Amino acid sequence: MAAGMVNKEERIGLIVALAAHAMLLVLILWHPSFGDSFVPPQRIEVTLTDEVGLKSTSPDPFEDASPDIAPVIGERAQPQPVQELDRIIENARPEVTSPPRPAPRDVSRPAPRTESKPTPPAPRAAAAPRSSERSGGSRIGSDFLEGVPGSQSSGRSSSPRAESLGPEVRSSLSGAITRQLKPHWAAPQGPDAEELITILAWNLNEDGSLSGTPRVVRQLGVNDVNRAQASRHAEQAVRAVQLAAPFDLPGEYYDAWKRVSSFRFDKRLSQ
Amino acid sequence: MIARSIVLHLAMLASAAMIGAIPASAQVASEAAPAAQGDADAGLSVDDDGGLTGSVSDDSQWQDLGIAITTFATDEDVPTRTNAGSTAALGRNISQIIADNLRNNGLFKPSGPLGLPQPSFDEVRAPAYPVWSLRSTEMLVQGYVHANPDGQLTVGCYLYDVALKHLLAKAGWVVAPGEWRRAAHKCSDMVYSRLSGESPFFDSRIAYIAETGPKDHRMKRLAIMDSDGANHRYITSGQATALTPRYSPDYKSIVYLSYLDGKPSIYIYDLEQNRQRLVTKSSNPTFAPRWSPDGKWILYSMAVAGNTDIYRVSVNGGESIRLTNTPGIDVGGSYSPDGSKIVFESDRSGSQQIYVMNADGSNQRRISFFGGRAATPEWSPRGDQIAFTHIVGNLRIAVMRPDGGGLRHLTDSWQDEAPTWSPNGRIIQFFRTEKNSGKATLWQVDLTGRNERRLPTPVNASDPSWGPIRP
Repeated sequence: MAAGMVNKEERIGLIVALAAHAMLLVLILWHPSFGDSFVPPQRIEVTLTDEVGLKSTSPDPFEDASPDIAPVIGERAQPQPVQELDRIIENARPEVTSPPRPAPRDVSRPAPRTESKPTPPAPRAAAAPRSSERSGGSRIGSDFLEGVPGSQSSGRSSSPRAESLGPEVRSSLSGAITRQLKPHWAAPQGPDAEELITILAWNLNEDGSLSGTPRVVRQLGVNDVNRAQASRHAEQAVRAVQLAAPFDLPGEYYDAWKRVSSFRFDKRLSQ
Repeated sequence: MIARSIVLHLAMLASAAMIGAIPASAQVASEAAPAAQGDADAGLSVDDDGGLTGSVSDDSQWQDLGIAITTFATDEDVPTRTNAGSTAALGRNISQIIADNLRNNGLFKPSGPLGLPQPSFDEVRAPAYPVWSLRSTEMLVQGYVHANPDGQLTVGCYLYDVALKHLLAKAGWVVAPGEWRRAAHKCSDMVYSRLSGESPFFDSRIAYIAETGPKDHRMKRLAIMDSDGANHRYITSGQATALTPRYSPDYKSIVYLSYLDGKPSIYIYDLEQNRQRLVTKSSNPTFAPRWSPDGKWILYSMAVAGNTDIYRVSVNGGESIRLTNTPGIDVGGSYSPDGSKIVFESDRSGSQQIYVMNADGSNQRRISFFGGRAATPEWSPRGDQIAFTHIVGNLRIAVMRPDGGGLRHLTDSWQDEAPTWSPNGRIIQFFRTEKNSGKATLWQVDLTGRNERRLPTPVNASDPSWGPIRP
């Protein structure tokens, strides 16, 4: 009865609607593009630094890398040849002073084989005080360092060598300068004088003293009201640098701090 | 029907597609923002050739500069024709004046001359720096007094930076015995302007109205004094009430308002000949006289039948030129330092407000648009500020830029009014009235509003006016 009430046009419409709904459902369930449209953003590591550049940097570019030191090679032989070896080297020493490096090796190696076993107790007493000079079972003589490649380097750095200073060292160097300037820097008073900013550049000698006088790179915040204080502001900034010199900065980074190219002097009103 | 439902589904499809699109576009936007910020930061810190960069901020409270002022030395202690006595006594007095001048300015913390080592005449040019470094003083003022055979005095003044151990400034003056205080003011000026960057102002004079007698029957006399209150002198006897004095730019005369014959009229008092003359003869009351910066014109206000307007008249008298012609009270014109503009007070809008016009009266426009009323404007000698009395409940001294912006209140008391500028445009002088007694005193405040000080006067005082730096 109810179906009969529905006329033909409406029935067609209903069917079309159902078909469209079905299509939509299929589309939503199956359509791949909807799922792909939202890609979670890739995580990026952010470093907060004021320097950006494709440079190889290192915390201490001037520090030499430490030499790789292998553990001491243990002697395969039993403890007893040690004493005789001591004695042999002792005997051999006067002869081999001129070529120091190869000598101990040449002498020591054939020694245990060619010599017959000696009486153990006798050399022991003689060898005892020497034990501090030579460690354990090492075959290495006291002059071994000269033979090891890279041993001349006093490097202790565990980070790789690089061609320039990393931003963290730069910022700690300028932090050191800031700390040393702070007690001497007093901005002049006056209306709107707190808006003045002086930027100075100066050169430093290797002992931290000033080379020449600081130079004003530029001044910011100068307006009609505080113009009278601007030159005084710059003068006070220069005075602060002159009073803070000589700067106490690590000498090994001299290349990094020999030129201070723009240092900003300003006033922050404390609340 | 079919069409409608299809459209409906299409709409649904579209919205579904949009939902997918929104996060993508949002993400693009959020990525762009930090990138732009990074560029801005990089632009600031980029330096030319890889030298070290950094910054240091002075975030301490404002600190006054420590200055040691030693007794001025003399090569021989001989009597002088001054009221201070011999040259040695003069040296002590001069350094005391310098110390007093520099004190209470908010910039300096002077010490001495008492309790400080007294340098010998030779040490004036070559100070013993180690001694002063130990006393943790930053600056050192030394000087000498020398009596010339003709009775004149030579005063030398040296300013040293103790920390850097070098001479910052030096100067010498030959003064007449009667003007020995000016040498001290000049030395103060040298120290002040060298260490603050501002123009000098100590070597100047102040005219004001001295008030004596009870509140309802007060005697008001014209008086002048040095910027530190010394050399005080009454100009008028007090028979007629005197008001609003203004020094002429050349210090030779004072223009002021006097009720000499019962009604207010403007007089010019000649300080050299001690005579005064009426500027303009009029049956109408005239008041609020001001000099033009070149000293050739006088601005004044005249009330004609209840309508007060601003007029200009030559110093030598003659025809007055009317500059304003609106109904209401236009009063208190003050020239800009270049003489091209005039700031004045008018109630044409219904309440007292501040207006600016060209020197010929054209282009009148209001510049004060903050709450309350504003009165007695005065253009700074530097031209960068206008001082006025801001009436918001209490009367306060305030400054603004000539364009009407940058309002700053400098004082906060019950009744501070009538600001006038120091010659260097850095200190404002005004008078303060006590709430109940009506006692008026002269005060100074610097442009930062931090340093306020009372100017000593022998009696109550009002209407101060600072003259320019003395020639």
